[in-house]
Amino acid sequence: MIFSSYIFVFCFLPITLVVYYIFSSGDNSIFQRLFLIFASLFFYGFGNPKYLILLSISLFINYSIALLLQNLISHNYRKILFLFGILFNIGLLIYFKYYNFFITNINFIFKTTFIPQSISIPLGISFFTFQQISFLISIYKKEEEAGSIFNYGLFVTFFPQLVAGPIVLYGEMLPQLNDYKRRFSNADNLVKGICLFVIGLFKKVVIADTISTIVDNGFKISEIGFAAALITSVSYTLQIFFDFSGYSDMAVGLGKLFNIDLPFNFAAPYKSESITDFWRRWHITLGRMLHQYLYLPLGGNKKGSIRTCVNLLVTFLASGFWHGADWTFVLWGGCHGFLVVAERLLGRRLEIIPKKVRIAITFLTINFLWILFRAEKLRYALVMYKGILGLSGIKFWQVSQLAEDGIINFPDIINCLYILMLLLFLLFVVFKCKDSRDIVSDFKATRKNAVCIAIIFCIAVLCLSREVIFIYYKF
Amino acid sequence: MIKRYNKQITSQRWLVNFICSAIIILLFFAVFIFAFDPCFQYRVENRKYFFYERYVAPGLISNYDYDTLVIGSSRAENFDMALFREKFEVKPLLIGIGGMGVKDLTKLMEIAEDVQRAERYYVCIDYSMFLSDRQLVPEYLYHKDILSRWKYATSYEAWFRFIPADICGSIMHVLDIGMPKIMEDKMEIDRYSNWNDYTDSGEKEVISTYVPNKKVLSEFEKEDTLDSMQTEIDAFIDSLNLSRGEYIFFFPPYSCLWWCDVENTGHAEVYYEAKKYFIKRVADKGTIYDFQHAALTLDLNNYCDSGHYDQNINDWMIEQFSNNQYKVTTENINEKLSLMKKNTSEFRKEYLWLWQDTK
Repeated sequence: MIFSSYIFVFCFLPITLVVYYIFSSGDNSIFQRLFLIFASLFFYGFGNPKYLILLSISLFINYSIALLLQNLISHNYRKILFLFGILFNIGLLIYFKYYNFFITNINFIFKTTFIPQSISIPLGISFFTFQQISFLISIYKKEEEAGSIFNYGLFVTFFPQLVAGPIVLYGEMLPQLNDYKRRFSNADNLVKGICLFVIGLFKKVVIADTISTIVDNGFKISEIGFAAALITSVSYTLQIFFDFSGYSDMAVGLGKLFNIDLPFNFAAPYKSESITDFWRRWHITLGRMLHQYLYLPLGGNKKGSIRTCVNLLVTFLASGFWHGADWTFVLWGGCHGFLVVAERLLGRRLEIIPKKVRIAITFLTINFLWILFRAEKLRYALVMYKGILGLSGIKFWQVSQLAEDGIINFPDIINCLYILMLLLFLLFVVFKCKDSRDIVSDFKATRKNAVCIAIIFCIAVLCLSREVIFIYYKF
Repeated sequence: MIKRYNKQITSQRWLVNFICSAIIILLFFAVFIFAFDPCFQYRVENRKYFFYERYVAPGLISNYDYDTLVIGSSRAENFDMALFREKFEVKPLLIGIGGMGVKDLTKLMEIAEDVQRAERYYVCIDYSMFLSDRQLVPEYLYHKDILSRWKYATSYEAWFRFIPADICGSIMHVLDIGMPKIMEDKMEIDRYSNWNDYTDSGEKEVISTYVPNKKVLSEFEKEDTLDSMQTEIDAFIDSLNLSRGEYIFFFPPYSCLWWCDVENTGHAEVYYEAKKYFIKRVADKGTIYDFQHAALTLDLNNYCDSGHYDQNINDWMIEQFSNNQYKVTTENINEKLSLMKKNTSEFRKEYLWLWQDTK
């Protein structure tokens, strides 16, 4: 099930919310948690129940390992068990997500003929596996207690964050799950939760899904010229932001509805002054995980300047590979890593460039690299790069094609104006408007904004019929 | 007043305000769509709105006043309804959807049978229909239940595409501001799907756009394809109530170039068998016309690409319907197929260079 669907907005969410708070009237919170776990599993398995088997196995094994880790005294046994747990999770990820990638590359390099399997990637596997790895690490380091199976089950399956994050730490969730007051409905949280959910829904279904037409059309053009390539790449830069930040806003909003504070994933990322700054503002919870569980164990910045650069590069390559089993993702991660290393080496010398120029350069660089992220194959990315560098000509006439959606074909001039106005407006929103975190922190309940949020919600409802899947559901 | 709206209220009051506002707005959407009705789900008004092929088909079949339904893919879209009226003295309705598959055809025929307006059905049969499982018409337009009506009332296409376009079009029409012909046509129920004036035809055009199909079917794939086509044909025919009206099925005249192409890929043998099977299934319950062996299929000047002909051929087909020519039965199908193969073979000899060049 996806957040931006009729069934979620009008059935699943209201029913789950009402039943959840009905259960709060009892003395025992177990029923409430159990209900939320079942609701989350229903959400996850809706449409494809076979994924539930994998999730349940993963949950059961990780929890068992955690209990054993907690109770074992021998340091060696603990270490072996811990390594087994980590390998189990990584193995799961490799099999479901990277198996065909490795087979294809082995066949290519060694001229072997291993047959790729048709393996469908379970929804959100990268997210819940990462979350469980972090859980095992915290138990191994004795930072946390495994706690009850209900708490653990809810920590992994809680539907707002199950499929595409934010990636939550056990230490963040457990105190909230054990907090007695959070069992009962809280009107303030309901209001903030609704606001965030509606803003996220609007970002996703109205903005991101509208621009997706431009992007999809652009990437279909075989000899794209400069004008259409530039518009396509900027459109994708906007699409991925509104899509993923929309999803994250919805997730945080849904968490609030159940009195759970999930971390924000975005902090106005396109206002970044450097690539390093960008990664502090984009997909914050992934960055935090990679920093904590990869960069720091590799030595972080404590082992000299060269080693720091290598560690950064490895972390960014891993980030690219985490996003997808393709060389385009690895290259994308590598390029970001290279730029972060370069910025580190240049240090304060970059500050002589005026701030606005730095923001513009950063935006254009990120925009340029998103092409790698979006292209299904490296050769499609090259076509787009050729276009954006002007090597295929300007070809203004292609711009109008980008707006065609197969429903109504408007005259070329109207299509061009529509694209131009849309992109300028969205760039204004991205650079000049408050982000959702600020909107909610400054939020005051007034009749005016109740009506405004209702209007935004109803406009978003009009776009639900498109049901376009979230970009980050693929990861 | 503005001050009152900006005054801070309790969260409970905020929630009540939000829910009430949302309900009022959503109800407004429903009422507005009921009144405006761009997909003709409640009523049909000619020359008021644009007709969006895929989106108006179920509504037109449900609510238009007709006694003859002409339905099919892009090969049926250029039929001249005025000629139908003149030849047969009927009230025809044309439903043409480019690339229509059997899913949509079955569902549209089901609606037509339910409303019982048509006494006669002209159904264009394309082979590709039985090989495609895609559905071009949104599911909610096929149903009248409250959830489907709700989806229609809050559909993206209606609100963000059709209504703005309809309002602009209606204003231009009322003010008599000249609209491009393609948009004028879209306001005519007889011509909304007609593409004849917007494509070039002739031998040169057909040859220049022809791309030989390279995917050759294996013997196993041929069997598999025929099996699945026969299953789809069965399902389609079983869904029809052939005793309720007069059913006229017709196989449209693809050019011999099209037949050469499907011979090259191995599809032709599958199509011959599928056609025989179809005819066997409906021969005693309906009338079948087969134009695929007609002499005109040899002349590429009648076409705009290998499978699409210009409107003269649609007119010619209406003529044949009225003269009862080109009927096919289980008895004469083999003879007609032989004639078609002979035509294709002659054509191949004449245009052999087409395939030699591509090699």
